[in-house]
This record gives sequence, structure tokens and C-alpha cells, in this order.
Amino acid sequence: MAESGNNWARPLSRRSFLRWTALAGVASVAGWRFLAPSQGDDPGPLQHLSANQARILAAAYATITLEKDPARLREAVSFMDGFVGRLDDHTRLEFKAALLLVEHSPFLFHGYLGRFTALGDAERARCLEGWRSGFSWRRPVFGALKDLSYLHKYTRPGSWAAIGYGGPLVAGGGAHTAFEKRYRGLVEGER
Amino acid sequence: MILTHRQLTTDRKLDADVCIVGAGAGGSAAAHALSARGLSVVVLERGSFLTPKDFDQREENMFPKLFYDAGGRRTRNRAIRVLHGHGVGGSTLHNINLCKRIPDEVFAEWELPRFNAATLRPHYERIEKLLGVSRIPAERMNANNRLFKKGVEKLGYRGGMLSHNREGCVGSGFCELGCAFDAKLNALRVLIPEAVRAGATFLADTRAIVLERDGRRVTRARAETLDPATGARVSSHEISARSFLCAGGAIETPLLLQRSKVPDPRGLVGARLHLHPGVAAFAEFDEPVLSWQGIPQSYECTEFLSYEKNSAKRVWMIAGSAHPAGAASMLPGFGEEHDAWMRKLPRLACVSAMVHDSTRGSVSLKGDFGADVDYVLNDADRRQLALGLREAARILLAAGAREAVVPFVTPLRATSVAELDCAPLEVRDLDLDMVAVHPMSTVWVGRSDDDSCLDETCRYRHLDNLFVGDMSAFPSSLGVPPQLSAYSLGRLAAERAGDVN
Ligand SMILES: Cc1cc2nc3c(=O)[nH]c(=O)nc-3n(C[C@H](O)[C@H](O)[C@H](O)COP(=O)(O)OP(=O)(O)OC[C@H]3O[C@@H](n4cnc5c(N)ncnc54)[C@H](O)[C@@H]3O)c2cc1C
Ligand code: SF4
Repeated sequence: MAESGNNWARPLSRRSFLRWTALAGVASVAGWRFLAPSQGDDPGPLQHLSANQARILAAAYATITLEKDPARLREAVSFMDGFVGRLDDHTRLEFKAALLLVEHSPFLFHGYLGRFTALGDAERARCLEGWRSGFSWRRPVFGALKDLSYLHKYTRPGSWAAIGYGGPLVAGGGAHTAFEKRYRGLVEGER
Repeated sequence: MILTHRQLTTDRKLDADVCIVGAGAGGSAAAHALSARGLSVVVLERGSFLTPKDFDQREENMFPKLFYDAGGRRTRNRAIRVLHGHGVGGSTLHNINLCKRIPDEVFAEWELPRFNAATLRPHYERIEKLLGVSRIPAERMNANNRLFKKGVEKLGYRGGMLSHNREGCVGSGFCELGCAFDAKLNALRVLIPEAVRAGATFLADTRAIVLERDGRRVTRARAETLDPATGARVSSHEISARSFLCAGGAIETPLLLQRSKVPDPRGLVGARLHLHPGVAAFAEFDEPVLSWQGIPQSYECTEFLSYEKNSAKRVWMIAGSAHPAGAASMLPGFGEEHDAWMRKLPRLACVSAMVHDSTRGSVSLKGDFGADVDYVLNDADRRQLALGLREAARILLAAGAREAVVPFVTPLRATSVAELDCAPLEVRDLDLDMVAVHPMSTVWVGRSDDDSCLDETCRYRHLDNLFVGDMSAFPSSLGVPPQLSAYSLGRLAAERAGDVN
């Protein structure tokens, strides 16, 4: 156990997070059919996320980055799908559960009669603001969505001019071979 | 030789004098020292063998290649991001190359007669020579560091130039993504090629799963090679050796020992984690800063850092820098608010404050290979970080910033010192981004079985031929950037590990 002098400093109660997630899960399969999910765009081929999870992620991405172009949203989702695959199993499961909770959070926390994916831009932004600044156990979920969204947005060369960033200095995205001779002959069978 | 997943397509049984787990600072220094003695060494490394051509300076590509959980590892309460590297070269591939020795006061606090400044001195000297450690020339300071220095000097605070291990640096600023210009005099460039030429074998893309025992001796390590692209198992191996040296770093070494169920009657393994957590303040200047260009960190402020026991000054301040995605994650808000911050990025300077922490956390297994890092800052460390944030903002304002910003959920914004000093400033979890890049002291050296995992030769107390040679072994927070100490510790642990019959 970590030593700590202050109890208020344990903001993320795993139990409360899981309780809400379970509630969102029950809600999604049982009663709230009238809260129809947005049919949205086809998220394209996915390896780690379901189509529904991808739509939730796309909606969050669009609200966080202000991106509207469906093709770019699809590309973003495909990128984030790849990143989700790199999480350890526990974290991946938690992340997916969190997406479900985000989807149902408009009803659970904000009094909207609609799922996150079915809301308009302004309502979605209001929901995400709740995740960003509300109860501290919700903040890590917003943090994960924000990190993932901006990891995609700001690693696209198209975003760099607006922020004065010149991008990598190595030509051709990494074909910098001048220094390889120091390492020649170290790998078995390679000269 | 180095073997990667491409060569390791079939299962192997290997024999060595010493089997080392981890090819980071400690592990490669140990391999270097042991192979120079003519001993046969097998090193298992979870990460890949990457060379300058692989460091493409793209955050989205390099985070997964260089960091555990693609850089997304966090403490259990999600408050602190814990960065820990993998690859042949470990965290020395992406670190910022700052070099400092452990201060005498920290050694004195440990009161260990055979694990002290004198014991480590010859190892520090050797490593500093091998890695060409030198003072960073003042003319190499980038604009961010120059502004930081200007503020520190204006306030009359204590500060100075730092030392580093670089040669041929072109100041690209991409240190945290690996060096495409091969200018880091690190494990990859210096120690590993020499160890290989002296006969050491490195198995890259290969993780140690467990250490198996017979009585008080470890007999072999079981390992598996994974395809780095898919994570799928490619082959399985058994490595028998006279002794075993764990150098997986302060998060992974205790996890390996826990997986291996080493005898641990007092439940100490993993129990004393320190992290040096850090926070950052930003400031907007009229002129371009371009903090991502040039050597990222070259100047320090030690006005609020003293190593005396129970000191009320325990924060170390240095310049901060990040590439766009990293910066975006730290700047406040989302949508339009965030967009406005990002457009200011070229004119933002950053100073970060790191605490020489008294908080103790722990590391334990989550599933088979995951890390549960339980660490909740104590009040004293929170106060130190709050002090560091206020002083970082003060320094930036003194340097001429138009506005200083602490990126809390509701950002603290100040255009004058008077405004800054009026603002309440508390460090609460999940109210601002905290990052830790120096995990340490999870399998530590001490005086007795009751209060430590290792004896003063870094031998695991309950086994005859198991040693630890990485950041895990230090008994407390070091309060300085730790890489030199990790390299030196690897050499120290290798001394006895190489003598086991
Ligand atoms: C972003 C960043 C910047 C830093 N900057 C500085 C700096 O400027 N100056 C400084 O002094 N320090 C710095 N550090 C810290 C420093 O790099 C580390 O403290 C140091 O490298 C730790 O050495 P180590 O041997 O304990 O572990 P590492 O260097 O992390 O090496 C451990 C290796 O063991 C491998 N491993 C672990 N478990 C297994 C297993 N089961 N099987 C196989 N392999 C395994 C890992 O993959 C890893 O490669 C920085 C760290 C970070 C993250
Ligand atoms: S700043 Fe120097 S050491 Fe860092 S990546 Fe660029 S060339 Fe390499």
C-alpha cells in the first residue's frame, strides 16, 4: 500500500467507476432503447474496437479536436483503434467500459434524453466538460480521450503549420542511415 | 551477438556464466563489465534493437517503440503518468542525457557502511569516462533554457549549467524520441557494441517470464520472444546460468521477482517506490521560444533543493519541452480553448518542478505482466510541488513573460507576481498533469533481512545467486537524475554476480 497523509487524495474510486459502468451496461441492454445510438458513419475496418465503441470514440474525437470531415474521422478512429490494441488487457477493458459510460453519460449525469453519439455538438461539448472538470473519478476518462485524440491530431503533418511546428528533421520520415555503421555486424547474420 | 525476433524463430536452451534481465542503464553496464572479464553473458531484453535509422522523430511511432504501454502507464489513481522505457538500451534510448551523481547527504542518510559514496565512486568514474560526461556549453542553451536562466538570475536564485553525455549533437531537440543523429553516448552507442564485441549475447524482443529455483539458487530463466508488431509469441527459451542479475528497472524488476515467487517473508519486494513526480508551468512570451528545438534541458535551478535530512526545500527545477502531441496533452481544455493554446505553442516557455519525494508507493502485478503502480503523494510532497509550480511561474514572469499559466483543470493565470502570489495553489490529484520519469527503490539495499531486500553487494537476501543491478536497488529517492547511478549500480552488482561459482 502507498503511504499517504491525506484521504481526499484518492479521487478515483475504482468501485464507483465500475458501479456506474455496470449501470451503463445494464441500461444499454435493458431499458433505454428509446435512447437510440446514432447510426453514424461506418467506422471502417477495426481490430480492437467494436463499431459502436468506434462511433463513441469518433464523436468524442470530433468534439475535442473540432474535426468534422468524415474521412479524417475514420482515419482518426482507425489510428486510435491501433493504439487501443497496445494497451495491456486490463487497461483496454477499462477503456472500453469507459466508452460505454461516456455513451450513456448524457442521461446519467446531464439529464439529456439521448446518447452521447446522438447529441449535437454543443451538448456533447457540455458532456465532455463534465468529464473534464466534474467528479475527479471521471477526469481520467476525459484525459484518456484527450490524449488519444490529440496524439492523432498533432501527429498529422497537416496540423503543424497552424502551431508553428516544423516537424521531424530527418529526411523521408526516418531514412537517416549515416550513423548505422557503428551498429553493423552486431546482429547475428546481418553484415 | 544481438538476436532479435527475426533470428529467434525457434526455441533455444542457452548456458551462461551470468544471465542479465534488462538491457537498460544497469543491465548494459553489467554486461559490459562482465564480458570485459571474459565471462559469458546472456542479456534478455523485452524491447527491440533500434538504431538511429529507426528514430523517425514521430511521437506516434516512437512512443510505442520506446515506452511501456506506449507511454500511457499511470499510477493506480491515474494521477501520475509513469514513463519507463524499453529497447536494447532501455530508458537511456529516450532520456535527456542529464548526468549527476548521488549527493553525499543522500548517501549519509542511508548509513550503509559498504554501500556509500566511496563504494560507488570508482564506478561513477569509469562510467563518466566511458560516456564522455561533460558540462553543457552555455552557447548550446536553447531559448527556453535562456529564458529560464534569465528569470533565475533576475530573482537572485541559485542555478547553473548541467552536465550531459552527448557527442555530435546537432540540437534537434528530439531526445525523448531517441536520437536519429546518434549523438547520445548511451548504453546503445557505447556499452552494448563493446559488450557484444567482447562476446555478450543479447536476446532482443525477449522477455523474462520467470526465474526458476532449486533451494536457495536460481537455476534458470524462462523467456519468450515476441513479435514486436503483433505481440504474438515467436519462440520460448531457457537460460541456465551460475548467477542472475535483474536490471529490468524499478517497475519491472519487482514484477519479475513477484512472478517468480521468490522467497519474500516480509513482503518487501516492490514496496518502497519513489518516483520524483514532476509538474510544469507554462508562460507566453512576445518572442518565439520554440521550446522543442535545441538541447531540451541545459540549465537547473537549485534554489529550492537541499538534501539535508527533513529539508523543507526538495524541488528541482529545469526547463520543460515537448513535441506537439505531448504539449497538447498538458495544455488546458479542449475544443476552441485548447486550439487557442496550441496556436500560442511557438511562444510558450515551460519550466518543470520535480520533487525529491518522501512519499512511498508500491508496485505489484496486475494480471501476468501488467503493473499496478500504487502511489499517492503525501502532503509534504504536494506542498513541495505547489512551491515548485509557484516558483516556476515566478521565474517565467521575471524573465519577461506576458502571462504565466499553471494548467490546472481551472487554469491559474497570472500576468504579474502580485497576481501569482494572491492565487491559491494546491496540488491535487487529477487537477493537473503529473509525470514521473525516475522510478526507483522497489528492491532496495539495506542493513538487514527485516528492512531490505538486498545486501550491500546487491545480492537478493534470500537467494545465493540472484542480484539486482538497476534503479530498484537504491534505498530512497536520490533527488538527482538517476541514469549515472543506474549505470554505476549495474557495474557494482556485476562485481559479485560474476564471482558466483
Ligand atoms: C523521459 C525520460 C527522461 C529521462 N531523462 C533522464 C536524464 O536526463 N538523466 C538521467 O539521469 N535520467 C533520466 N531518466 C531516467 C533514466 O533513464 C533511468 O533512471 C535509467 O535508465 C534507469 O536505468 P535502469 O537500468 O534501472 O532501467 P532501464 O534503463 O529502464 O532499463 C530496464 C530495461 O529492462 C527491460 N526489462 C524489464 N523487464 C524485463 C523482462 N522481464 N524481460 C526482459 N527485459 C526486461 C526493459 O525493457 C528495459 O529496457 C529519464 C527517464 C525518462 C523516462
Ligand atoms: S538534441 Fe542532440 S542528443 Fe537530442 S536528439 Fe537531437 S541530436 Fe540527439
